[in-house]
Amino acid sequence: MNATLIEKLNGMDAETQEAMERSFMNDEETYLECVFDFLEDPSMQMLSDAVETRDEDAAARAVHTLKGLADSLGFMPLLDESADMLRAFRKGSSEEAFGMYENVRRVYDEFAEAIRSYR
Amino acid sequence: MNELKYTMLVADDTKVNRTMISRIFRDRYNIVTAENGLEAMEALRREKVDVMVLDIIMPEMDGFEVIAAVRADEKLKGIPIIITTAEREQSERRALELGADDFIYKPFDSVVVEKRVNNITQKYLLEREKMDILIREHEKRAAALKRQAEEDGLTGVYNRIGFRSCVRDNLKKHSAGSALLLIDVDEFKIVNDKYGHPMGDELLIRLAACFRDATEPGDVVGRIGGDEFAVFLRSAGSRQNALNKANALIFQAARIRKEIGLVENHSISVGVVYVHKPEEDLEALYQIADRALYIAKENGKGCAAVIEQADAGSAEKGDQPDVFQSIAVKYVSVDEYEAPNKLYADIAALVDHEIHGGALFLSAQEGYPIKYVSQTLVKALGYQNIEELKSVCDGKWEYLIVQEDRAHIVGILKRQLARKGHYLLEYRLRKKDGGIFYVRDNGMLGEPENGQPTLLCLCMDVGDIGE
Repeated sequence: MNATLIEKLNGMDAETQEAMERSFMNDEETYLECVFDFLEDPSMQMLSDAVETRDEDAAARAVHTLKGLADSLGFMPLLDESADMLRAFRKGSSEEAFGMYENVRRVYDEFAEAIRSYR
Repeated sequence: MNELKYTMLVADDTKVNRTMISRIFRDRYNIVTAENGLEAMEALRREKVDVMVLDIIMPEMDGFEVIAAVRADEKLKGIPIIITTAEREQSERRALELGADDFIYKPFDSVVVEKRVNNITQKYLLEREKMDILIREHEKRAAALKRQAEEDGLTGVYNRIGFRSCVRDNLKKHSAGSALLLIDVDEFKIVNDKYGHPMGDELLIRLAACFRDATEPGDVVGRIGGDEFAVFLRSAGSRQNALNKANALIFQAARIRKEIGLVENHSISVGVVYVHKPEEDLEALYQIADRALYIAKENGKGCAAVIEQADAGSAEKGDQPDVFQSIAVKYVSVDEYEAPNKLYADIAALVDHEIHGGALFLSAQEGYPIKYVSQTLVKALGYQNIEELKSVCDGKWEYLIVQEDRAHIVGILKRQLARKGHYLLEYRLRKKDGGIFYVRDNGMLGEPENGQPTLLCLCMDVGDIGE
């Protein structure tokens, strides 16, 4: 079942093998533990709340954390979307950044849905 | 499973990061985790942390604040800190300036993380272990020096300085119910002069060991002068207990002298002060015990005298101190009683301090007149005075009355009498009204009546056994 989840993630352009080798000492069990922890991480919810209240700082902090998470787990599409949003915040284009939220949300939900189905 | 020697604190608000770091180091460190800076500080104060991997951007208290707080804390400032940061955060410079030891980029490369953390911590831990060893050696040396300064080189017990220091500490906590015994080795000069100094040293060593063995954990034994010892009984509990302990030491001392080949029947003299109320003034207690020791020596040595702390106070106002005598010497050097006059002299010493005890030695034999009578005893028996008591003696009784804890003297006297061809018929003491005052097979008396003092009474018929 876990191999299937990894295949599923790879099918979503996640670089699971690279992430496992780089950050998890090739320990699949720990990697999958962290993949499931991804569902419990509050960053996405914090980002949604911040976007709703138009709180730039909070939104930038949340998307920063989300980006790091995606990077560590090798969720490349999510890494790309969150990196774009963070970059927009950093160059002061908050409206542009807020406009990217839906892309981040969509990719996040795809990963979350995939993982949840293997829980 | 091996117990891990070192502890790592991983502080990161993202659980995945905490898990990753823990995975890398879980085989070599006890891992403690924190979700923010405040939790990290709590963990640092709660646990003995050897290294910290610290995220910079965290809620509540960020990584910069944690570094500053740790480096400002005297107890924590030496802990190596490795920060974790995203490559483009550019926070490593500030963190290093604040005192972080190194940084690692996210996403973590487990090999880089492992190498960097190990490089930092191995150096630190090695230095700390060296320092710990130095500190332990220093402490050991300091303890050895202290011991040397406070220990008597010959006997291994405390010397005067050590004894006083230790007893002073004790008096601050345990003075009420304690007792101080000053001990003088009787005729020690004779031992040195007649048998040589090695024998004198042997006697001192054996006595010190005996005092140490005879005391309880927490009691203090010291050699405070050439042939002077002192014993502090932390929980004597009562004046009688303190006196009993002194008598036990006198008995042991006499045994030791015989064991090592000293033929003279000498022992030790003991002055005791019983401390029944809190007293931290060691000098005051010394003075009282010294007075008691003087009394013991005046009474022929080889015995103990005890003065209670409060009695000493009344003595200063001119009253007679309430002195309890011991005649322990009488059974450890019993051979001396081959000479009756010596026995008389010892009993006389006892009678002189008849407040709570006394002795009566009456003899019907020619040349052995009534010698000493305790007024306390005379009254206890119902007689008006000694003359009246004498008048009722029918010429065939000998009496010896000693303090209540001297039951063993009965056995000694039995042997004495047996050597003279006499035997002990019974123990009793006749009252004026013809009744028996107290009777016990072992010579011990029952409860005192009408406030009369409790005495051990021995009444002997020393007539010839004949056919």
